[in-house]
Amino acid sequence: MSTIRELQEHITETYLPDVDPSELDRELDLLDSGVVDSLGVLRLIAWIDKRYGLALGNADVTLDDFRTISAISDLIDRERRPVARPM
Amino acid sequence: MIQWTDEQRALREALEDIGAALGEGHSERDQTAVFPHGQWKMLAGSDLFRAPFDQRWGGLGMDLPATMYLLEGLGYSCRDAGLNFSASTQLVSTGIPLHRFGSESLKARYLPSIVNGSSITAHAISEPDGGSDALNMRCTAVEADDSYILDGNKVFVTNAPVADLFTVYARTGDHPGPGSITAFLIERDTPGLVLGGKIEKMGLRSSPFAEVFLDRCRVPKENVIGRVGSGFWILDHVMKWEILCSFVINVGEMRSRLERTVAYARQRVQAGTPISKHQAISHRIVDMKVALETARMWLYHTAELVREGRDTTVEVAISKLLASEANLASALSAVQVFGGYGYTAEYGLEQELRNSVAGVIYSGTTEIQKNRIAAMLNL
Ligand SMILES: Cc1cc2nc3c(=O)[nH]c(=O)nc-3n(C[C@H](O)[C@H](O)[C@H](O)COP(=O)(O)OP(=O)(O)OC[C@H]3O[C@@H](n4cnc5c(N)ncnc54)[C@H](O)[C@@H]3O)c2cc1C
Repeated sequence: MSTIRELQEHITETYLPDVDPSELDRELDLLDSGVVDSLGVLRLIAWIDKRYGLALGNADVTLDDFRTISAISDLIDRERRPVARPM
Repeated sequence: MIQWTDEQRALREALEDIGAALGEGHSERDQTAVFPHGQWKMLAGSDLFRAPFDQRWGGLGMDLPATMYLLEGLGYSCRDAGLNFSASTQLVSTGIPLHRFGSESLKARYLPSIVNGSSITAHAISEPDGGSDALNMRCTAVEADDSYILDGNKVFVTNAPVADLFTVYARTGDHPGPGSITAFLIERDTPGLVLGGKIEKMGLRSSPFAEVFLDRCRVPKENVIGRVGSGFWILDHVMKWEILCSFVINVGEMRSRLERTVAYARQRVQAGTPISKHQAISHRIVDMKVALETARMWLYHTAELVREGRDTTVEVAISKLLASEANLASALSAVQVFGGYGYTAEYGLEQELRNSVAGVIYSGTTEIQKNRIAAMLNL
């Protein structure tokens, strides 16, 4: 399953149980639309850590990385790549 | 358990060596509610405020667990819990967000004086209408040319009456979500930043707090910490540091209290027996020990996860909950074991009990920590 699809499924299951995953627009602003609130961002971070083993705490991450499904998918791809980065 | 280096041990010993002098006069300060400027200078002369910052800013480059190890020593050796609390606020309120998220020029301007303790710092998040629901803040920051204009009221700002630098969180976006808060670094003399009068409080009385009013306070754009709209992100990082640093101080305080309680229970004789031989008393003291060790383990375990960049939302909430409630229970038990003497001001335990109540309120109340854990369980 693609990361985008996994994210669509996880976000609908967790935050929008009445929405069909395939109908969730990957460009929808999850923060401004109120789908994901502050605790929701923390829950997403926990899910990414658990699902992909990615520790985002020391990464060069901003809130914009959680704005849309596309942005979250890009973040996951970026952090999966083994690049050396100053802490 | 973490193995500390010889250098870290030496730093802690040096801090513990001045602990008694730092705490001297704490009972009088509890009565008069005066901030101890002399002791602050002494603390600034130790390496404590330098601990977590890069060497190029005058710091020691220590990581979070090692910084906590020093703070635990402060809590253990210094009986002025207000001073200890102000010291933890100094480390985490402005230095930590500036160090991690600030621009190079902002760091160059402000970090050296924060690191050497000559600038005292504070952070203003809570408002009269909301502490627990702080992200729904009303304080606004509106863009105007090369500045932001801040308007709003902040409350309970620790160190405010003596602070030189404030990190103020304000709303820059119209949406209620997490992307609408921004952190600003503001100098005390900035026109439009006005401090309220002295507020009397129950405990931690040598650590002053005050209201901060922002009345068309113009802050240059270069004083934004991190990006516009990233205040929630910054605050989450700061709260992790605040909780781990301030409650590891409580662990040190609990250890000192436990030692005093054991000594008293062994020498206090009633009906021909030391009270420590009564199981009701010894079990109470055992509970103090178990709570202290549990809190310590959770705090350092969580700090190691934070250092590794792991997700720690649940661990931080559990650590805060355990440590703050343990400190409160330990202080109450100590008063009980000391009996009538525990209730007198002379032994300082009633003061410790009053101090410990603050911990179940600041940095997110006990109820809010439980809400967080519940949310992370998808409840
Ligand atoms: C010693 C001390 C130092 C402080 N220093 C600072 C500082 O430096 N900077 C700063 O910005 N603030 C500071 N604060 C403020 C502190 O963060 C707030 O007091 C705290 O977050 C609680 O907010 P509140 O006082 O508005 O209480 P409220 O949020 O009004 O809460 C009142 C009660 O209702 C409960 N409650 C509220 N919401 C919920 C909910 N959703 N579910 C269940 N229960 C709920 C709370 O747990 C509490 O018991 C300090 C406070 C103290 C005591």
